[in-house]
Amino acid sequence: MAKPVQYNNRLGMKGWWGGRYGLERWAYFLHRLTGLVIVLYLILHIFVTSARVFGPEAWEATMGAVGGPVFRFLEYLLIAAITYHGFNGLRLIFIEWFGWSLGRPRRPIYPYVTSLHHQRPLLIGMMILAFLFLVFSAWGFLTP
Amino acid sequence: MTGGTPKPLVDVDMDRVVQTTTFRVFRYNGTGDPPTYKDYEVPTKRGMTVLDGLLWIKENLDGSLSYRASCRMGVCGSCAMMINGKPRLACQTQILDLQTSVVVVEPLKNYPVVKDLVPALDQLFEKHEAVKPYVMRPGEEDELENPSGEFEQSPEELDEFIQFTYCIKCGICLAACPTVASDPLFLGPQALAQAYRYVADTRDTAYAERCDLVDTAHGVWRCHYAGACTEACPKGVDPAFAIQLLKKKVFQHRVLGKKRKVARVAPKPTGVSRRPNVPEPPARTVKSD
Repeated sequence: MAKPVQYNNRLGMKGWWGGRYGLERWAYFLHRLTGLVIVLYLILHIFVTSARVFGPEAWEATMGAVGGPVFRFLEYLLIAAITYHGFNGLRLIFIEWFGWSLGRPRRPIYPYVTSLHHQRPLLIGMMILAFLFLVFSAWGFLTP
Repeated sequence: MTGGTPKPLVDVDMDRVVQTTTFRVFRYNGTGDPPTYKDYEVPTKRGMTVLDGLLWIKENLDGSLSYRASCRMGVCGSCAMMINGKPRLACQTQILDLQTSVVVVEPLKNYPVVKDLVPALDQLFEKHEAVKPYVMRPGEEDELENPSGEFEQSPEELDEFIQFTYCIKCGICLAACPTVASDPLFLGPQALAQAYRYVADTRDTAYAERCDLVDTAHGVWRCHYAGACTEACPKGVDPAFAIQLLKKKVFQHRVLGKKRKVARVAPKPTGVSRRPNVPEPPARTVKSD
């Protein structure tokens, strides 16, 4: 008889995708994605600004290379990522440290009302704040 | 009143086949061969659940199909599986409610597959065990073994955690959790919710011990409130809620040094006597070693 072998069914990073779940899981996906973007940017940032070590000419040349409109737009996307990560992170701190907006434990009687329903106004409010923040920064950033 | 057969309350023929549903079932033979999907045509009646469909397939089309099921009424938690991409209990999911003619049935994600729709749930039970899911009173073991009375707990104190005692260990939340998907060591929604259940229980005095137990690299802080576990939970346990409350408790314990109320053993009533018609309780049948 063949030896039994178990099939590995773990989703891995594919499992971060929001799929058919609710808003909070999409918020989780974006939070992870923007977190990775910020870490990657940090490495890039240190690499680019290290040109300063090679004298003023090297610095000017590097700044000229990353100063075009394409990079300006990419920088704006970076601001969008940081803004999202910051506002969503604030929401998570409110929820995790202080238990705000979650309601109280309740007996599970069908149809179930969960803490997710309770905190959704906080999520939507934070996203509106992030959006307003981005509109204002677009003003200064994308206008010449 | 006149005689004759009474009119049925709902005028629906429950035995009529209303659609033919294609069950696209994940098949894995348990020997390392790549898994395949096999289609079965299932005549579907009103009220038929996905589990009914699988039973029908096993009886009529393919006896080699393996799955777990027992109570067929949402209590035992055996028949958890991925149904159209979401983890659900097969016995609580009606085929017609899915509003599709193709039902994709797969084993729970994030668990190794033993055969077909049977996942190996070892990690679920190991993680559950790791948070010590029982009332602990360090230093009062004798009171737990030979109780001299009951612990005093108010209904309000019970309401703080009773929601989380409804867990049936079906493992659906671990299949829904995005963190479990990429971090095999993460304790997961089920175990953490049970940790909170005992952290919030005033009868338990190992508050600090359990807070330290979950305050690790793969513990409570790996959760970022994606809420998928809560959305998927078939019993309304709301594990994501329990984990956030647990984080709050760990924060209070670690940063603010806060302690929790402890239930005392209720004192024996004095100045009263037993009614003569109420018999004494029987002697203990469980031997303590």
